[in-house]
Amino acid sequence: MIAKYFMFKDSKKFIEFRNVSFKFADRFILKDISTTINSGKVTALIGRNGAGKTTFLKLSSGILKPSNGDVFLGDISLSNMTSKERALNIGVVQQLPFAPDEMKVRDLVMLGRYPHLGLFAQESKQDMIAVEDALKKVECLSLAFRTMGSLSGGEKRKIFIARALAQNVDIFLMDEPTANLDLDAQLNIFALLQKLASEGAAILVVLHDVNQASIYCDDIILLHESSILTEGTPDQVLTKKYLYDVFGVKTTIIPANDKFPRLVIPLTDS
Amino acid sequence: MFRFTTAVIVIIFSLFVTSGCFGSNSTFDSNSKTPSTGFPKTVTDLAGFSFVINETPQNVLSISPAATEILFAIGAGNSVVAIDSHSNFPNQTENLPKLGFQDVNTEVIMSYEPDFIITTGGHEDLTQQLRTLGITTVLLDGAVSINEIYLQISLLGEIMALENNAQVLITDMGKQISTIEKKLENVDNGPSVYFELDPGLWTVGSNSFIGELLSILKLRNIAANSATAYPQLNLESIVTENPDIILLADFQYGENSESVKTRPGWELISAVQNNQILEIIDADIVSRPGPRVGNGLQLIAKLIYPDIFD
Amino acid sequence: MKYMFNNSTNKSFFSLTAALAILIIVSIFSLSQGYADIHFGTIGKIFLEIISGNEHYNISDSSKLIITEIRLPRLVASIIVGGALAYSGATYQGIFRNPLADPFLLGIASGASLGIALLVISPWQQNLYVGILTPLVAFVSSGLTIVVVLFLARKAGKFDNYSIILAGVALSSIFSAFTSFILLTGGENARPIFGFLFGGFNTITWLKIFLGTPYVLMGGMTIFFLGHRLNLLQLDDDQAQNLGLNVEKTRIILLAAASLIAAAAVAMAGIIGFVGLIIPHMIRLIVGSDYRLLLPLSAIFGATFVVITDVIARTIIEPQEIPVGIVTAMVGGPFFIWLLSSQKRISM
Repeated sequence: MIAKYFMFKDSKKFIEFRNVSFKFADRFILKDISTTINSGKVTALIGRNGAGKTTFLKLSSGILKPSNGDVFLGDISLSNMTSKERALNIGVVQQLPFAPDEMKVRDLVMLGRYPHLGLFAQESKQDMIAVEDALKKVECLSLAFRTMGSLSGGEKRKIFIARALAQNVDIFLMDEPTANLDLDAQLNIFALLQKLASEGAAILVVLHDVNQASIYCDDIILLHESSILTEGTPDQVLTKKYLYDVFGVKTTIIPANDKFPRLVIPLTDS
Repeated sequence: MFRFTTAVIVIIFSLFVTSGCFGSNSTFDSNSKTPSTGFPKTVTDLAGFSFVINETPQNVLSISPAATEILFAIGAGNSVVAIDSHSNFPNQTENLPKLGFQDVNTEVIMSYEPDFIITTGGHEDLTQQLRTLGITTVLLDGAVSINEIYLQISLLGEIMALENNAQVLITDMGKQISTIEKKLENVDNGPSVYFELDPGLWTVGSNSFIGELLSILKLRNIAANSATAYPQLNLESIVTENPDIILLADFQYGENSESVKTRPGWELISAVQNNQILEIIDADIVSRPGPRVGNGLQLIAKLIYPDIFD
Repeated sequence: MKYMFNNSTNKSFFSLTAALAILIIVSIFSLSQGYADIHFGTIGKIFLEIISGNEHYNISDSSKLIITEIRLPRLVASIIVGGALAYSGATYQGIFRNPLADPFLLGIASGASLGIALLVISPWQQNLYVGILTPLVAFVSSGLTIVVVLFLARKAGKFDNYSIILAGVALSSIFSAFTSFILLTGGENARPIFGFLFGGFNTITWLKIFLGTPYVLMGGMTIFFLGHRLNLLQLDDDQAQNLGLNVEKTRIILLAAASLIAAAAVAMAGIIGFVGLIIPHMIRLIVGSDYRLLLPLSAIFGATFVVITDVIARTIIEPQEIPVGIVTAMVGGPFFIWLLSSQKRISM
């Protein structure tokens, strides 16, 4: 296990789907998916509700095993890794994670250090520094000793992101990381993600807002009816045709220039 | 779910235990001077329950081992048609149909067309039910004293129109007991005794039937000051009280004098050191408050005072 | 750095030491209590004699034996059983994320009761109090119950809390019903079952202790090394998995360990309720839900609690004995009433 960890230290880490299918109750949630979540980039996963985005995320973290094909972390299959090994490499932020109301913020973030802790889960100075840094990065240090139950939805979300940061991983999988956040907080989170990507992390975010995908993400995967309809840069993916095919909505596209990125304006039927 | 069941069990258990404490405490109306040939006659039982008999019962059911013994002892055995499963004396009971004990089925009872039923402690509900169905039912709780046994014999004698036989039985019993008491006249302080009902260290208090027997025999029961009739002692108190004699009434659990000697900590007790662990083989006659109480006394007396009783 | 630096390690150390000190004091006190009047000094001399192996004090044989064969086994058993039940209870509460779970949730108690009830009415009734048959039967029946519960849960598909609890409750009900039936129809012969049901140390021997303790140690060591995982389990299964925990395996191992020590406790002393429930709950109110501290502290206080209740059980109505299970229930009931009225309720 340790050998694998060190092997990763120098090589680039990324998630690769090779012909992955996932079946549940006689239905294919995902069919023959092959793609790569590259390091150094923020990748958006968009698509209709029910297209399979959450399943895709779960397959990426290894919590679900594919029915066919395989998901790789670099060149090691996720199913050949233990939970701990995966946790040392992949940080997941779910959409609505549960936390006991009376748990302190600091303790929740410290749980992110679990894969690093010793025999009796004793916290070292290094762990405490990691927790502090993580809270600083999401600008929530002042909340450290509050209980989870006393936080607002947006604050909670930032704490869960902080926990993923404390894990000290190179791959982040996030489901709607900026839902319910104020505009400034949204900017803050995306700036953070972009910074992480520039430092080499591979980041996958599930988004509903196609413009957020356009503005903040380097790549977009468009999931439609259990397969990848298309993937690429925002310019390549966010076209009138694709948007109509998937969402049934007519749009006006404002192409990117040096002042602002590509934007999508949905049109109402007149 | 489990805790509810525990509660129910606690309640049932306490009823079991305390039913030994509270014998009937109403007066027996000995002034119901109705001639034995005069019907209808009104009888009042020991709990104050009054009922009318139109004719001497012919189909008697007994759900009380003590009452069964009394009925046969006063000569009413022919009228007994069915008994409970614990009624095992006298020999005639072997051939009688058994009704169970805890789980007596009312319909089965009715099929015998009884005109008189005797129940005992623990069957309060059943007794009520039978009375509602119109059957004369008397509940005779286990007697706590010998006097109470006499009262029960008298009552059954009156109901079965065998008053004379009942009187004779009482007189005989009285003679048997006073003979025993006479032999013990010169005994000032009998030995101290631990009477074991159950190897979980359950014993008898002074307000229990066996407790009374022990005091008639001038034995000092180490549990005499207990609050309840059937207390559980802790080992330390038994060891500290250091009884001279241990009486074992729990043969069916495999306890005998050898097994008691091997119990850790018991080697301190003088009864163990002096090999005074006495096994009561027929626990029934000792624990059943009925006509054979004299025999029970005799049995224990022989074990304890072998010189006086041979 | 000053924000994050917490002296929780110091706090833990302090509270554990304090708890142990209380346990030791209470234990010494318990040795001095009993029907026989034995002075502290005498007790001390007895121990010195045991340790040194010589007999240079003039102590009566009866005092010595009362201490070594009656009070000391009761004390040791109280500590082991009380600690085991509280440790097990805290673990159960962690696994099921429910501060009202207790070690008998899945039917250990009803399984053991049924086993004993069957033994009492069986032809082997002869050996009820002789030797180790009774603890063995209790232990095996509780063990079997847990195995069946886990098997049923597996058949249902998953080892999640829902399936396990459902299976446990179902089995509990069935076994309780059978036990009640046996009690009802057993009459006089059923009396030993009551003794077992209410729990107590009246008939404890060093032999029973030696038989049960290895299992307590096995389960206890497992929880000692893996218990911290319960902190992660307080989140949902997915999060715990993503943070590196093998959720299913952890749940089964901890469940088995906690059940093992509870079964051993029941085999040694019958069914003593409320300890597994109240003690962890109380400790949680004081030190919070960090299982690294909650587990050991619960064990120590559980031991202390049962030592105290055993002293009460054997001295309060001397020379009579009250089953320990009844004393713990008498304390437990009011505790729940207090919980209801107090503000400091832990939300579930």
